[in-house]
Amino acid sequence: MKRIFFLLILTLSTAVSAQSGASVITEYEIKAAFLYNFAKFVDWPEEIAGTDSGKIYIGVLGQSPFGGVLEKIVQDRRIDGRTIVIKEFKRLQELDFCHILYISNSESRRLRRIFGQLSKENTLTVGESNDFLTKGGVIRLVNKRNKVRFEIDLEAANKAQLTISSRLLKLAENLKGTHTNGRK
Amino acid sequence: MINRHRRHWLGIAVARKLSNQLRHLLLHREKYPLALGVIFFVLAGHLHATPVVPLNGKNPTSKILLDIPIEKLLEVEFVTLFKKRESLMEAPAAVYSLSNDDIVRSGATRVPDALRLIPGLQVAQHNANSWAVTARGFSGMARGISGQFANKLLVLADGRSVYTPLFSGVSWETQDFMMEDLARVEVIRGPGATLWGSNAVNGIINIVSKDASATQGTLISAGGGTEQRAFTHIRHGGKFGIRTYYRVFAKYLKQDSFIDENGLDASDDSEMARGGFRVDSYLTNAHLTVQGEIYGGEFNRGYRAVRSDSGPFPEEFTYRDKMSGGHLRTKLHRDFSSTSALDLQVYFDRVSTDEAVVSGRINTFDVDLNHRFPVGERHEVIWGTGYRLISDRFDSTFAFYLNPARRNVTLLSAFAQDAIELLPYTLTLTVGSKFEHSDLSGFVVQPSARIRWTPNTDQTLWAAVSRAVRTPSRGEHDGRIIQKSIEGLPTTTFTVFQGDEDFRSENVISTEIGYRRRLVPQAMFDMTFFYNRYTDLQAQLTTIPIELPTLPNTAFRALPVKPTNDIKGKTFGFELSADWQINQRIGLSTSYSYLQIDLENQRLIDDTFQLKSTEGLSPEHQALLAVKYNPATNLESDLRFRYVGSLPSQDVSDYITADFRIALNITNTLKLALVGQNLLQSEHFESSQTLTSDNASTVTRRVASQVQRSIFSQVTWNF
Repeated sequence: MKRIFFLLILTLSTAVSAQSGASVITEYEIKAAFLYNFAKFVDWPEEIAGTDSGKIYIGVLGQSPFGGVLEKIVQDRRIDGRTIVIKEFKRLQELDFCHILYISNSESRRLRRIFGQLSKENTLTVGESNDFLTKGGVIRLVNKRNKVRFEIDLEAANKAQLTISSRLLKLAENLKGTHTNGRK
Repeated sequence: MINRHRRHWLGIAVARKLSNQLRHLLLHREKYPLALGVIFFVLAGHLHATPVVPLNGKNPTSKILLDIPIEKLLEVEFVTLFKKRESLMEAPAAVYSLSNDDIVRSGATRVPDALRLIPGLQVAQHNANSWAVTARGFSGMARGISGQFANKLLVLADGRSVYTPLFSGVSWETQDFMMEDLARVEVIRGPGATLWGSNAVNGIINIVSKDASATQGTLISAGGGTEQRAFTHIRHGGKFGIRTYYRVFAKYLKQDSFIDENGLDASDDSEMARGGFRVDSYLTNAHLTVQGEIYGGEFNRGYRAVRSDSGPFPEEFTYRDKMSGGHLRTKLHRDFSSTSALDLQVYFDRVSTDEAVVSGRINTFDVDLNHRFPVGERHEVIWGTGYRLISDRFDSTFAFYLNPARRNVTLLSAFAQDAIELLPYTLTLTVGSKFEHSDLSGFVVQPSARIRWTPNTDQTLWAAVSRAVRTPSRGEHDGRIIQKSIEGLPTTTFTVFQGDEDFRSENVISTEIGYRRRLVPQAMFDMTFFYNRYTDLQAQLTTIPIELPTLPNTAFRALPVKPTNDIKGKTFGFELSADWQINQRIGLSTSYSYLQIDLENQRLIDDTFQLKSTEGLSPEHQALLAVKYNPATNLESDLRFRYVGSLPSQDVSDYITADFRIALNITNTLKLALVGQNLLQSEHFESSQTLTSDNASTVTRRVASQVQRSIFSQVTWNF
């Protein structure tokens, strides 16, 4: 019995000592970094009524899978001098304008209604459910062998009057439609 | 100068001492396999790991993600060893899943050995080729027509029930798979009858193989060692056109015998071969699967049973049991949208058995339809219906017969379940019921209600109340088996287990509460408490002596023992588990489960022996600690400690043992693995044929043997 406890402690100590060597990156840290990059590589129409031109709003609708990561790493960053502000919306009724809206999988049954409400907005919608693009979303994040990839629906982007950088388009896994909004 | 010199000499002395120790270990490696493993582990643990993203010391890793170009971001890997488990985070049931990686790294060559990793599951190896697997009690050797063994756990292999209707249990010896090609093994503890039907009383095991598209290329694997004498797996996967994938495979395994209580060879070696195929075709919005397999095996076993009318009664002998079978299954999955889908499955399964006491065959034909669709924004409905025809034929012998010898049993079933979102994404209520009719069990209703509260994505609190039944087996309904003669009587009188058509289903009403929480993104724990109330459990009632009607020799008399629904009881317990993926290289899993069983007679008869023996078939405590560790990118190692409490009624003492695996990827296609199992003692009992006292309910049994320490190596070539 003594020998076993000795072995247990040895094993645990090894595990813990080896921990110090490597870094841990989680899925939603990477996805948060993608949202930040989308803000960098997408242009919104010059004037969006009722918004502060010095800010980029990134919203999360529904049950947030980011668990504070988004605020921690993206909040207060600047893109072309504009600060990023994170907003969370528990339900559709609370929603107000965001440049980027991440729509959680918890909302997958309500996608039609959500896109209906957003149809007149210049919002870059990002989601993960299988039919996110077919229901009207702009960018879908996809996990492939522990890496994050993304798909873009250009028709939805055109409708929202978004201009997506060719650098981003080139990296998309799956591109639907053609771009009509021109490029900066 | 002098100082440095001295230190140098001191260093040499220490190194010499260490190397002597190491040489001693290596020379006597059969004595210290574990010590060597641990030394490797510790040495490897102090090697430095290289982070995927360079750290600059100031910022936390996550902030750096914002500064790397997006092209690089696409290549950053996240930690997911427990991904499969994470996707079960919100399930309102006690679910646990082993991924392909978990299964391969367990080093198990057979599924029951991999099941030892699952919290709350009780796995007991009875001899070198028989296992009993259960959850939440009622374990024991799953054999014996009288059906008082591990009969409350349903097992599905790729959607096909492998729970045998003959004796209510699973013949694990023939349930074998290409471990490399399994996608996952999913275990639900607690009743699952609303979706899966009868006999999912204490749990369900779903063994799921990979799609053919995920097993492209050729895999050749071979190995051998002290117990797994020789095994070979061969698989080839390819494509027909652009949408259809296939694989063909074959597996052979020769297993050595264990030892008996006196340390002598238990003559329970076995040999098994199987071959099969799977085709997956991806049509527009549909997925068609066709798979089939045939197998055959020979299993040497010690028996203590009545075999012929010439005696002795019972006789101790060894018999080479032969079992074979095959199945063909096709499944069509059709997606209408991401929330609506239809599944249609048809399978045929045949099992033939020629064992010491029982021989015959069972054919099963099954059609199953499931349909899932949303109603409005708040309801997700799933309903289904099924038809199963079980057609069997058994040979009548002196010791065993079924009356009638052939029987067709029809099972009709239907179920409906609605998941209602009471509060958007935080509160969901799931209600549903299964309705079944079978010739043996009559009409059965198995409802359940589950409520789930997910205040955020990091935690889930759930509770459930459900009813499930274990339906009578063919043996309990129609069987007769001669067990032994009663000593000291003038005419030879046997105790005879006599099936009874009045025997009804056993019932459980189970109440469960569970809580799951992610502590940091890569660590989570899970706890479940359950309280089960059983009624109408099988008791064995001794009736008045009669003459055996169908025996040629009328000199024999019989004391029939028949199954009655006369035991009720309560079980209470909890299961705790935690998984922690420390980093890309190290993962820890630990679990503990507690079980308390309290049975009593339902009517005035008093059969304390039977109550005590059933209560004492399952361990009160079980614990597990498993470490996965990759010292280098081409090296993976695993170490696992298991504790299983004693089985009082079987006189089996508790044990703690360890398993170990190291695998080295020599090239991208060639892998070498070394596996050690049951390392802490040279042999131990996990099950026994002896109940602590003897009475009329002693039945025909396979003799138990001691599980031995085993070491084997394996080469896998995947190209």
